[in-house]
Amino acid sequence: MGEFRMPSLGADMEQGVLIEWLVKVGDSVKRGDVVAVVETPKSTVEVECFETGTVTRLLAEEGQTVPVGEALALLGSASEVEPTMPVRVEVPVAVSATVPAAAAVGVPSPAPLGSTSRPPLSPVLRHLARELGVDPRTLHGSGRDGALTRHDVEQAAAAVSTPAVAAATVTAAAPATAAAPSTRPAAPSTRPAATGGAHPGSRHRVRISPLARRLAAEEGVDLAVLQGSGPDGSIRAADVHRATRHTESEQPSPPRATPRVDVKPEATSVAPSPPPMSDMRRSIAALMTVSNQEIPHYHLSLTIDLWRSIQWMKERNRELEMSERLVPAALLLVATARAARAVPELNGHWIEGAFRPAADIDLGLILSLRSGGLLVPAIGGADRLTVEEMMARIKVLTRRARSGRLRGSDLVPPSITVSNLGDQGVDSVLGVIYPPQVGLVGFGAPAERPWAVDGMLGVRPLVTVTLAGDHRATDGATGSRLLKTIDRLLQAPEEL
Amino acid sequence: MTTTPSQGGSQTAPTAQTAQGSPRELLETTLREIVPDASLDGVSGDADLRETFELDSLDFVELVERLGKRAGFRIEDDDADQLRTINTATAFLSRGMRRTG
Repeated sequence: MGEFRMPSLGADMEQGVLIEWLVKVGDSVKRGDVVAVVETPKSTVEVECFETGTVTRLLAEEGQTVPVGEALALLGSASEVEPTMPVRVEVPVAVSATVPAAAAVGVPSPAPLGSTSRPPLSPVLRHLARELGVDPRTLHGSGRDGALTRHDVEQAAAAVSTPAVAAATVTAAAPATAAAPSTRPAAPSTRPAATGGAHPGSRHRVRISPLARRLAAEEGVDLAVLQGSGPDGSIRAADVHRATRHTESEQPSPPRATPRVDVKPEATSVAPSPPPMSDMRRSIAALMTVSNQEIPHYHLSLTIDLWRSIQWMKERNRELEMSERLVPAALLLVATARAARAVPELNGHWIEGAFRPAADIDLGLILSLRSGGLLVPAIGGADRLTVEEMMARIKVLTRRARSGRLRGSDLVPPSITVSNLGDQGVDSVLGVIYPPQVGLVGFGAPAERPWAVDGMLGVRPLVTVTLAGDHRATDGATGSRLLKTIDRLLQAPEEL
Repeated sequence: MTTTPSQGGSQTAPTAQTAQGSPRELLETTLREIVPDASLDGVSGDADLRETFELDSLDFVELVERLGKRAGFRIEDDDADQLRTINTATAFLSRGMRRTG
């Protein structure tokens, strides 16, 4: 009997909200299958299973906040589940209400979607579509290979809602969006809390949207007495808002300090308060404060001539398909990962007053999101990747991070992190280490500059690489070795 | 999706023209797949695309790949300079589409 537990999706994660189950009792799962969607303060993550077996029991309900490490489901052998009536046999009454939403609502699971040629819909998007009352089967995908994007779903939802309703919900949507994962693009966001949208399909129980559940918990609203206005009587955020308003008008109370759920237009008379900080901002603030308070940083920098690397890359790109084409970042990351292998003193974590070297090079990559904020997914075993493989990994990670579809395995704790701020056009990065790591490598923008080679002045593509090192774990001499190794590797790109 | 991936300009320009309209529309449509709310309206023809739409190097390589597929010809690394602004990009795309057609 195995347990599927709430994974740690970041060093600072203490708990997560189980947004959706993608399996039900009796389903067989294998290692690597995406089984649930979990929301962390930073993003919504598709979480994979690390064991193979049959789901014998779901322990957590959708919408429930669960501490890291606590069991979410039990896995066992198929014989432990009565195949014909799994729910009745295995699941206590209280939990049976959480039978997977996909089945209850009749939204196609990834397999039936395969009938069309486009890539399967990710659980996060499927979830969003259901929340917004959009049938993904009717949508035209504008993403790669016809894949549905978050934008497609949101646009369809906006089209369903009438302009009047959309306008009315914008005020409500703003704070809710800020609290939700900030990975959504800055598209016209009309998360239509009040718009149902017609969604055919029978259900056996009243659905409650996670947003509604969260609002209800915050406001102390009893969901059992609410009348749902969504399709088939499902309870949406707007219903909770309405209940809150109702209570307030009956029992006049002092104006609430937080604008979070105040949707009434007259609420503008309340003294303006600063906009609510997103969970992601709060999380970055906390982590970076700890870093600067606890880690005695030292900073080093080195200018590297990228001429050989870029020549090599251009040659490769002439042979590669357009879809496989390399960017300099792929070379920089491979060189950094190999250098971290060569200088293991900088690859690991400072825990309880001592440095613990990491066995693998799990290279954290800082990705900034269009909507603001950062995500730091990790590339596992990065020193063993070829430049082409690294390029493919970066593309997938970036796409997943920006569409809010990161996998649990993308969020393993990195052993060293790279900040590639060169894309923003700055010359160099004086980084802040992500605790408990002990090093952060920063790349500025590669740029053509005058450079002396063999006594001759020429124009070369140069990049400034920096290291922020934890002085408790290493000294500048060790840091220098790392930067010099990166330089040496980039002078022989064909060997990477 | 109306386009099919093509390599080395096997798709003819008339097809690309009918499916995608003008080079400017092609640019805008493709851009929007990367930056969902991107619009060329009100953007100066000389403005740097990467700066205006905050495209990082991965976004840009994706833009180049998608533009090439749509327009039906291979865009080389060295052509990237030609895609710097709306004006240079639309000129480059129409030249390329005419050539393959």
